[in-house]
Amino acid sequence: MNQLRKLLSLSADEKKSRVQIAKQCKDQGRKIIGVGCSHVPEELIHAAGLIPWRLTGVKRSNLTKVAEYRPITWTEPYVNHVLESAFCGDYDYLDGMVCTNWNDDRRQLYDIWNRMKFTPFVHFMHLPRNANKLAVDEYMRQINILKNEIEKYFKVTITDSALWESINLYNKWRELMMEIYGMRTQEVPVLSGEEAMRISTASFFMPMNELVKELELIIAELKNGRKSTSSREKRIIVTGDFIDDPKFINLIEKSGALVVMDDLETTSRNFWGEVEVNGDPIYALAHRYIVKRVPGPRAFFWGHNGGGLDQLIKWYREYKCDGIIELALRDSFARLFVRPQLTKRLALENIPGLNLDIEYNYDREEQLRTRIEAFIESL
Amino acid sequence: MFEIYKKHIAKMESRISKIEASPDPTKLLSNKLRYELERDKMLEEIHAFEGGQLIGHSVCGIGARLFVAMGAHYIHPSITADSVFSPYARQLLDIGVKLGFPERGCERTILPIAAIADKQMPPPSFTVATTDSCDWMAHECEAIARMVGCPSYTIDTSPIHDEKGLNYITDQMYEMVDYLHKKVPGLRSFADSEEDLAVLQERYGKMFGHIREVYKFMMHVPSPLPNGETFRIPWLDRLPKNGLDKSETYFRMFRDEVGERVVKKIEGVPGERLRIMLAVSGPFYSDLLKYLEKRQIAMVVVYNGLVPSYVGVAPSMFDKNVFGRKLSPMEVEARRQQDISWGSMGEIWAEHGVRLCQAFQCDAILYLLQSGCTPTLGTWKLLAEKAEKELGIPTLAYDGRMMISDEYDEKKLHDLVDIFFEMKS
Repeated sequence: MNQLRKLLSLSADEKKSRVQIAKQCKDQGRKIIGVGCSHVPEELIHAAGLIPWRLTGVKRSNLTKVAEYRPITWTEPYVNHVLESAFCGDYDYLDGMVCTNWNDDRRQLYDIWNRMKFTPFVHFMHLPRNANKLAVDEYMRQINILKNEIEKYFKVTITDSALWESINLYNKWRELMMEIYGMRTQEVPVLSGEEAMRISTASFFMPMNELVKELELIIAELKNGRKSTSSREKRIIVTGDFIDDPKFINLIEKSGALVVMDDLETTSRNFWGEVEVNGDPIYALAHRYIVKRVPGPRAFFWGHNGGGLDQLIKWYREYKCDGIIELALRDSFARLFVRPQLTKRLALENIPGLNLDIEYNYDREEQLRTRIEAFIESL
Repeated sequence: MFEIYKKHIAKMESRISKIEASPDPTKLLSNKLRYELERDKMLEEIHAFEGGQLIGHSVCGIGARLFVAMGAHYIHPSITADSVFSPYARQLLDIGVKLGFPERGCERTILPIAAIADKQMPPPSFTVATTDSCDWMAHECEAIARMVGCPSYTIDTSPIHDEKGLNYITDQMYEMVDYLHKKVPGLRSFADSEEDLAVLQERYGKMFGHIREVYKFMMHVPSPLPNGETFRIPWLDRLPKNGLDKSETYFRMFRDEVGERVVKKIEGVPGERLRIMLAVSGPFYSDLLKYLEKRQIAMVVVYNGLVPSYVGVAPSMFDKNVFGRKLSPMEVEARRQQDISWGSMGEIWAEHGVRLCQAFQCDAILYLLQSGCTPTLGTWKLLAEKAEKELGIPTLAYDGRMMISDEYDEKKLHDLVDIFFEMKS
């Protein structure tokens, strides 16, 4: 299990790994673009010869610098932690940043980042909330604008063939991730939930071509018969949005359950659904990011018409789960506003659910543990 | 059913009677018409529901003309919450929390949902959700539609308010009217409604012009209105469907009265020594405005999402040639969704705020960090920094909830204000 161990250890000390890998890339003369949302088409950035780099906060316990700009209560903690990291110089190696209006807070991530000029290149993309033809056309327009801005600023040309090459690489990554996640449906899964999250979030800081090679080796190892090290009785699917700290998953698993699936912007929703390889590559990207990928609660159709909620229930059944734990970032209103829909649907489907409001950084362990243990015991 | 509405109607009628019996010469006489319009609007909504007429809910203001042209009544749930539900905020929020919504969030979006659930507001026959303002208002009408089980359409708006953005909105609106015409029996098609829409836009445009003139009067020193009257300078999103004649009379009269006060140099805040812009809102339950008056501080403009377009520091839907060409009636209506400053980018919010301070000759900004107001909580410093840099004026940011007074500490707010203005003096 050498490849798996290697990847997991990189992820375990994420901050150090990020800095090391960033330094290596910079030493090679590569430029790195921070990405603030899983809807930004990283393939486009990759095709420009740049390295897409998912923004994650360094998860400090005290947020003092960002507090001068935003009240840190009543605002989304992910954005607060990312901005605090930016204010503290943690992203000094970035050459640019691209984000969307996934929600109002993310729009302000752009606003403040742009005002402070944390990076010389900053770009905002409007992300539609529908998934119809007009929304795809609009996102095509946004992707074309991003393409033009990148080409102008970084003095590169993004050809269709380069773009298709990047799309194929990312599709390969998606295919491998879906294969790994497919193994989690097994009665005794080959990976713990914590491990799965670490593998998922490796894409945030590893150059994609290297990651794809690692994943191929890891799959070969997993197929050779690795079993998870302890048997757990209850199978849980976790749902939420911008959670990227595996300690939350680990807490659930230490409480007597196994997290067999996760419905998060940082994991499955990030890679589920490939880009269709035909026609215009910009259209193909727009279609994938607006229509094909599993929508989060910001989408108007999340609660119905085959949206994210339907997908969550489908995964619940496919992964033979016993319960759903919602990890909602405190004050992330896109998520909190749809909670009544989630609660109602779980009751209708007779699915046990637990709603937890959490911080972005791993905090309040005892309070969370008490509630999780009680929930798992009740299953 | 509709007990809160009925209490509010009774309150309006009491105010009307009082003015009729002995009008206070220091107050606006046009307020009588204003209260009548408010009463008429609410009675109209109740009768529409009882009569099985079509009612559309939307928070983007397009319904005031478009839904009406298509044969429906229009309710803006959040503006209704502002005007009517505030005294019952805790009671309604508790219902909202039982429905699963967060305790601490945007009260003006949760209260209407709770009010409909509690049969305090007429439910819709259809809703149109829009993203022109913020996450909360984007989901509000969708949540209402889901609760009552009626057709709903969502219009997605880019925060970049350019012509391509307008085309995107307009295309969706054509889709929307087709969809609603098919799904809502009795709703006219757009083809049958377009002429009526143009007429309504013309009439609303005239009323809008009167409000813009009022804002111009407010730029005079001293401010002609007391702080409370400035706070409630009306919008156009809450007029009775069958009351446009009275509405036009009201706005004309309101404009004339404010103009007269300017000519006579009547001080809205006696002894005015400082002028401030109130950003976002002021807590509804606080005495902040009166407290400022006691300190001879005139609150001359409230900076909420629509004010820049009303004032003219940003183009409004009623301004011609915004993109260098004549717009169709549907495009004019689509422009309404580009009128909201806090739905745009942070630098636009900051820019419009500074231009307002400049236009109204403000000495300072009071900025409410309103719990749950996601578009404005994280942009206060952008405005404050720009105002300091370009105009040399300071900002006091204070936190609070819009309608829930549980945590309100009056002394703390007074002390903050006193210290701030002491430093300013």
